[in-house]
Amino acid sequence: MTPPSDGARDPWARWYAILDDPSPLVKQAPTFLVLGMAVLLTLTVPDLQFAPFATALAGMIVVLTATALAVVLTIQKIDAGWAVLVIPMADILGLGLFRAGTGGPTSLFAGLILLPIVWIAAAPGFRWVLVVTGLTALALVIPFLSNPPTSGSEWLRIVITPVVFSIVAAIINELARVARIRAEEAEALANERAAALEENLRIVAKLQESDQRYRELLEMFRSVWNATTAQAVVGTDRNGLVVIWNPGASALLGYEDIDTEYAVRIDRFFPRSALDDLSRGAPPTGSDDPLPAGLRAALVAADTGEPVTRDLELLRMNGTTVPVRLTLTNRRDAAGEPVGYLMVATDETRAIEVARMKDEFVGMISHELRTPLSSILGYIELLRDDPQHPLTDEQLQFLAVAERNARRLLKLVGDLLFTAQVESRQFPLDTREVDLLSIVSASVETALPLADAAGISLVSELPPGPVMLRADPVRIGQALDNLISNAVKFTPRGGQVTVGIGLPAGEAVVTVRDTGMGIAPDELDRLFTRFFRATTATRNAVPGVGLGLNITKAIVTAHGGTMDVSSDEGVGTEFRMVLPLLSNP
Amino acid sequence: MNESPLALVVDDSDDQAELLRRYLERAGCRVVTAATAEQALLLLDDIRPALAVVDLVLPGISGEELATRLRRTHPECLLVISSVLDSSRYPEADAVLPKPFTGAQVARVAEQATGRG
Repeated sequence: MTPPSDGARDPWARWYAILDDPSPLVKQAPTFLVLGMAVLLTLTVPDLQFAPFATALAGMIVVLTATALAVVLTIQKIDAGWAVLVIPMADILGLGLFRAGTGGPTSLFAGLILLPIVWIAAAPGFRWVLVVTGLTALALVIPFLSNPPTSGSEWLRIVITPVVFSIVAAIINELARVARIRAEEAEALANERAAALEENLRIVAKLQESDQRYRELLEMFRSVWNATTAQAVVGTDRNGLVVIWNPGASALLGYEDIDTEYAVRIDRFFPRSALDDLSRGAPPTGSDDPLPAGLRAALVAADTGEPVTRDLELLRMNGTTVPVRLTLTNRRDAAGEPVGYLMVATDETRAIEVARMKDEFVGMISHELRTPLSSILGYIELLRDDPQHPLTDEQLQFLAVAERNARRLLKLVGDLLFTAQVESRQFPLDTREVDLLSIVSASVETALPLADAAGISLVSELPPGPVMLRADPVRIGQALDNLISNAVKFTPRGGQVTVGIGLPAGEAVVTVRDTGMGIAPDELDRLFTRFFRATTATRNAVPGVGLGLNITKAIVTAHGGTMDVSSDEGVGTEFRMVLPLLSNP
Repeated sequence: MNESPLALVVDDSDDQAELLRRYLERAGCRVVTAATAEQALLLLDDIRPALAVVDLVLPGISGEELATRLRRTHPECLLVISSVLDSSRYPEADAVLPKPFTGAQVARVAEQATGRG
């Protein structure tokens, strides 16, 4: 492959280009020109002459014809094959005739034959050497056709000259062959290199493309990273040394330029109290573990792949604390190997403040409502029980209505206040060892008049012995009252409500089962949500605001128990309250 | 001498104070009322009640503070806390009357005071 070069740098390049890949005409040109010069010399130099002129002319015509063929083939762009080699073959014969016509064996121009010989000999294949032998022999014998050789030296000339020419042809043929092999090798190598280069270019293009994609991703990541200012994001290695620190972390914790080169350990951002909270129930760590036990336990929990969420306080640079919701996840490298952890902390200050204000508000409202309600109830009683002024039956009946409604309001206020306390996680629990049986019996007892009035049979299925557990009897009673009054409210006249206690291992299961209207399956999971009311409740105009079950669940949860419900619409509902028993009663 | 016991009622709600007065009188007590802890403390300089019903939410000095002082200055007085707050938030006392209370509850407390006296 010729290296591309422009004429400005190498003025010979254009000429080399012609000679590198010569057309038949270029190859024929030297023979034609040299013959022309020979003709001119013969005509001008007195010692030289045509004899016989006809033979010399025949030779010139043959060479001219061959040149004409070269022109035709060049125009037709045929520069290889036997048709092209006809030209030098004709040249040899033509020059043979010319030699014969310019003095025969004594002619000056025998050497001209070498030009077409070189041409033929350079053609691939040894047979062309033989062609050269035959043709030169034929060309050199022409002068002897008219007057045959007379001496031995003349005979030798007929034999020797073609042999010498043949040896020259053979050498040229061999050199050409070697040169051709070299050229082929060079070309194969060049092709190989070209292919390799092309492959390289393709790979480079691909790399550029993926580099571009990587840059875009990086840019996107960077903007997301910088936009995350409401959350602190801190990445660590497996031993809690900080390697990643986002602007949100600076904003939350106050450290502007944190060293992210394995120099800062995250326990620095946890106050003593938070570490103590975390370490509750955590297994002790090895003496060589740089992390506090609680933090290590939380990180180990994150190793399972599930994010670990904790509500706790973090320590700011200025020594103050900030309440956060902390999510811990494990961090992996490109090969999927765990290399550390990611901590995402969301500032909960405002949320806690809002919750506190809301609780305060609800508490204040409840207080302000309860005080007048207490007065209403108190004065109704005063009126009713005045021994000096006994009331008529009708008056008593009216007072009963007023009192019932005041009590209903009072209960609602109590529920609201309690819900607020549940939300702020500060509702009081006065636990002691109690007999669940007596609490359940008391609740059933209390509900009997209500059930009777509603035309519902209230049945209890209780075990004989005491069922001892640690609980706040008032709260558990309140939870049970809620379940039983709900069951009665949602059961049509003639139905049945059954309260029972089951005792699977280590637990007491209080069931409240009714034959009521039931709850739609898609509403079951929302049932314990505050202010949620089942469609069966609203459709049947059952009074209530949707706090009872929320409170019931909160009470049960606070006792370390669980609430569970199953229901068939139109068939009935069963609520189950699972409470842990005393381990050694 | 069997004089009827003296009861001190401290409640910033006039209605509640009046209600307690009525109930306590029906239960056979003599009643003095105060709307604030400050007023009650002034009264307590001169009287030695057998029974004090103290509301917790009061303007100025709180019912809780008053209860503590009463315990110190009048240890013989039956201390009764009465409030709309949850009973778990009551300070230590001899008896409680969570609002809304009934006449029967007040009568029981009065009886407790006379029994002491």
